[in-house]
Amino acid sequence: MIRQGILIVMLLAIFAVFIVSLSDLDQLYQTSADYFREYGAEQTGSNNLVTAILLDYRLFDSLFEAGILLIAVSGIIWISKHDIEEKNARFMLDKFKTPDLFVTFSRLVYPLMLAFGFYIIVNGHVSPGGGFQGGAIVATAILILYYIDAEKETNIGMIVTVEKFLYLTILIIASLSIFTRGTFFTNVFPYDTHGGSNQAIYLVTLNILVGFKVALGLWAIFTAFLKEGR
Amino acid sequence: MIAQLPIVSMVMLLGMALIIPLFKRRNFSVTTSLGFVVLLAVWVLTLLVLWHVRVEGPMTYRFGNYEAFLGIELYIDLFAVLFVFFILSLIMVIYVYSTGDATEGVAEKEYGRYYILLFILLFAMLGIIYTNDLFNTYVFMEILSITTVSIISIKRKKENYTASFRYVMLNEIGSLSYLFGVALLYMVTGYTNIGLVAESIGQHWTAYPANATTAIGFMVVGVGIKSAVFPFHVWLPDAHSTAPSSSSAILSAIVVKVYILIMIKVLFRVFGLSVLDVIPVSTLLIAVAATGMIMGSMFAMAQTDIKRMLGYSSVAQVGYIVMGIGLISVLGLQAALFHVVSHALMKAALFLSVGAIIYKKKIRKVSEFNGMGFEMPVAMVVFTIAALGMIGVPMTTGFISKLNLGLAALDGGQAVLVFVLIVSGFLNALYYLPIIINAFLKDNPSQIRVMRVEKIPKTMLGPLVVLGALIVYFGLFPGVLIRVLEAVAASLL
Repeated sequence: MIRQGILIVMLLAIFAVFIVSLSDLDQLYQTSADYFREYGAEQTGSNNLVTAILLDYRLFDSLFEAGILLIAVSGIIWISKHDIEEKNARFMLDKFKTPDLFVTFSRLVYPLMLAFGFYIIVNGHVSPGGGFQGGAIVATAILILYYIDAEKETNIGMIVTVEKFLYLTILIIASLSIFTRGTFFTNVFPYDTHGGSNQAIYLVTLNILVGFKVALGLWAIFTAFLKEGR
Repeated sequence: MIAQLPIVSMVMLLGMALIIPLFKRRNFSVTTSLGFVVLLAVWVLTLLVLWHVRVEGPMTYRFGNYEAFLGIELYIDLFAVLFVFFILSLIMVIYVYSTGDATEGVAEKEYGRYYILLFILLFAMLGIIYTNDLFNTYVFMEILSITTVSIISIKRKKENYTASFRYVMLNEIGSLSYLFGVALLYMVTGYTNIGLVAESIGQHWTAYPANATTAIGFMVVGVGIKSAVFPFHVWLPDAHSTAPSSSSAILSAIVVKVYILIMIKVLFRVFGLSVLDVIPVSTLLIAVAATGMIMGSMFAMAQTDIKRMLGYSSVAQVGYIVMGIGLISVLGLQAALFHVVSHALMKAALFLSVGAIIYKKKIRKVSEFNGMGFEMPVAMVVFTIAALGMIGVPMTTGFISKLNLGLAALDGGQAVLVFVLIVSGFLNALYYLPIIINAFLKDNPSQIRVMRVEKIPKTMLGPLVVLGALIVYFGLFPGVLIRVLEAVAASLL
């Protein structure tokens, strides 16, 4: 009770700081949002400014955020690895516990979710979404498979290996700009080409790779936890 | 061209980490020698950059050539490149040692994983030091702490898992606290680039004092948790004592120091003297540091496990460094930076020599070190040199750093700190000297008293001798290093 009280007081204090600091900042806040609105699409070839920031302006950050996911996945698999080989979990797949209606609907929804995930990944540079978000949706779709097919066996080692290769590919593609633009980690194509269509090739490629990498990573984490659950 | 070298060396380290699994089926010596070649190449590149920066002055590297407020910037100045160079040199020494003894408790098929983690760790540290972006620093901090957790738990024993769990929980609080500080700053300035944030703070910070004060508190506490400043040290002894010896040396000598470098960057680069003069950061840091210097040594005295004792000793030594920072003067900062280097050398030497003894004798209790000077003379002599350095005996780096700290404290008009320094030195003597005396003067009843050279791999003996020699060398001729560090300190303030 005392602990909760202290926690609430601390949260209130943080909230108070935000309130206090929010007053009278109009003349200080030199936002870069105007710049993004004005030049973002032109410079990066992406109508979605979030993708523009993630995959071009601050690609250096995004690459290693993806790297953190990879290291975390390896770590979780490493910690949950046991000497004795264990079967995949079956607790959800117990026919008595999973209602038939749910299984049937899952079968219907699965291809839709997969298609939706791919749509979000591929259109990351024109509409809201992108590799990270679409990858999470694809991963969720794949996880529904566990409801449909209880006996499904997954080889985590394989998933993680593919994920590592994807990450390596992403790094290589992101580094290619050293040859065309003289710096690492930006769009390969210079931004003065007509209409930014070349740049879109790069953005789509990178979004697809990142999407698959994220999907595989989340799939691996989930499978590792599923195994641990037994 | 030369501006590309820092990022090239980072990519090389990351690439090395990613290609290690490809050599899984080859003999393991292929991996270690390739790793050494990569380290050596990066070392040479960094030496080039160091020379260039020393002659031409600092340089910036912008990804995608976007303006500073849009993209991410690396700022390569003497401070950054000097510490990168030092870290790389020390890692190379420890790396050579680890090829003889990554083994302590690590299963043979996990060696590859250990080196993958080592290279990612190094990559993240380079990123933290080079980057000139507050959020980018956070990204690398996360990589660094996740990698550290994996290294701590690599022995797959129960106590490792406990230690790494505790580490991950406290360090996440630290990371989030830092991130919250960054968010507060971003809210008022609209930038994450350190230079631009500093500019905005310097001009306008009186318009948002609550925000700046809270941000500085969150950021310093966050980094303080990660660098084990006294009241936040609880994770350190477990984590550092259960990890394999070579990685204990890396964690204690280098990783903790990297967080201190972030603290220096945050205090002096981001906020600057105009803020620090008004907000009583200095007083708080000095109070915390002084308590830590005494309490860390007190805790260390009570330990029976030698590696835990060294862990607590690190807590006390971090206190010295924070004290130097807290003085907020060129002298104090220079003394703190010197102690970063000197403590890294001494703690690495201590952990590695203890590691050699654990490797050969499989003992960890302080009481079992009786007569060890006759069984393992080289390891024990290096231990003695480093321990004397910790106490602050002349002719070691430890003496020079304490002298500098004392002078800086007197210069800052804080004479009571000199007293704290002396007391802390005595406390260090109280737990280091008995080990040395027992090791060289006391007989171990179960052993015949014959002097012989220990049979441990040469790759382990070499690094020990190098570290011992460096401690004495910088203790006798600190001039060059001190002059360089003085220039660095002056450039930061």
